[in-house]
Amino acid sequence: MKQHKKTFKKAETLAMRDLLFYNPTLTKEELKFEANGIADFLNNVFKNTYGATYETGINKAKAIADMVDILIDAPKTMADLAAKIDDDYNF
Amino acid sequence: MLLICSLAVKGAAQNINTVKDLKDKIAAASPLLAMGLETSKYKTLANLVLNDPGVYNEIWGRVYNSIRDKKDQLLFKNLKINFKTFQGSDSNRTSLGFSYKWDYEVNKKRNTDYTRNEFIAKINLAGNIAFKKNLNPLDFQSAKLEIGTNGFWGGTVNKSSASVITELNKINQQLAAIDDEDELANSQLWNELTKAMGITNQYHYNFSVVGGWEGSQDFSKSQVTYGGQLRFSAKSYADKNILAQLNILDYPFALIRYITGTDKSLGPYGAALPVVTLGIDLVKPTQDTTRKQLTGNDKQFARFRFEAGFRTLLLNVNNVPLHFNAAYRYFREINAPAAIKAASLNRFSFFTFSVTGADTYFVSYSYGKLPFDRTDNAIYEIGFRFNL
Repeated sequence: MKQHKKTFKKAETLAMRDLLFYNPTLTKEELKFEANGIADFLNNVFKNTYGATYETGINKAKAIADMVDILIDAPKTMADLAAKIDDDYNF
Repeated sequence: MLLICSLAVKGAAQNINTVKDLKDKIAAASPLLAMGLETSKYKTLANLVLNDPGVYNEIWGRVYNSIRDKKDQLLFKNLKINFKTFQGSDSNRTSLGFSYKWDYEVNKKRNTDYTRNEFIAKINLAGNIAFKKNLNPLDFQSAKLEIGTNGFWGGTVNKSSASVITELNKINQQLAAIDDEDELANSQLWNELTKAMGITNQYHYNFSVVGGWEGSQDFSKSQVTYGGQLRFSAKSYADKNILAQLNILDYPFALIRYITGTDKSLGPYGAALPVVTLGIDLVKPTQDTTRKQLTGNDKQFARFRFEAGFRTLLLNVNNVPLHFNAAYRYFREINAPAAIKAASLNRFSFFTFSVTGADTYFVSYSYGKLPFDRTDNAIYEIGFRFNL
């Protein structure tokens, strides 16, 4: 998604604030809007490209909201995002 | 429905609105009990009971729960009523009353292979009613209707077969094994991956209009409110894309990335296209003393706004990415009074940019001014900082 240039291993510690979409000059609403676009795209990739299903009790709205919550949280890391995705999707 | 509820509660209170009424009712039901009570104690007891909001909350809770538990009570489900004691702001006198809040949301979703959107309509009512209205320090009611749509075109990928998923997982494992950033960036495996995924450009929009009314509990003061906005963002996550080429804001940065060796090829980023917002708001300048001095009132006014935000990669220094961040905001009052124009308070523009990386602001600069009511509504900082 062209959000960073780190290797997979080094990306684990990458914070949300270091991703391409995380513009600190945006308002919170604008940032959330941008994060929603990323989360929607990721959801499509997980569901269609990798055939993932939602875990029990999770639906599309919840999975996307969970991702957005982390994406807009500047110090959260890619590892945090990956852990939440692992909680919500069954790959 | 709220009106009926309030009348019912008010009516119930008025049915026993004097101590004498209550005394008569208890005397009729139980003469012995009535005889055993002295008038003064009886009056104190009655006042305590009749003015205790807890009693009404208990009654309301039972009524509400019995109705809510029934099926097909969607309209009733989100009604919240809380009885409470209001105290006049300039006296110790009190009045029983209640606050209410009710909201209802209609959400229609549509999902196809290419488009995903939702229509949202929200109705919201809220307010505070004191049975003695002159003792209501929270004399405010509002009714709002918000209609909007939020959605996407594109941003989709192919639905993979089991064999393709297996192949893609192998590619991912190979990419994950690469330890060098340059090698990873230039790997041909990305082309295989993105080709198999069939990524389309993503167009994301949000449109909403809000209309409403707000006023005092007896409707003697009232005003309408409205606003609306359209927010739009387009992203291209695939390489060599026409949409990405349209990102002219990124051209100078693409050149810097190419010259510094951050990128091996020259080209703008489609994932760095700006987010744009257009809106019209009705502003109530309650805290704006300058405006009040100039116009002699604090009447609400309509204002147009244009806002855009942009961020891209500037360069990598020792594998630390430095980003360029910018936002531009423009506000213009519609039909501004002459005094406001003369004071140059009818138009505001604000530009800010920064260079950030590794949790540090290396440079940040802001120029212009935000409207009075928008200064605390942003993540950004105003001013200039230099940190090298």
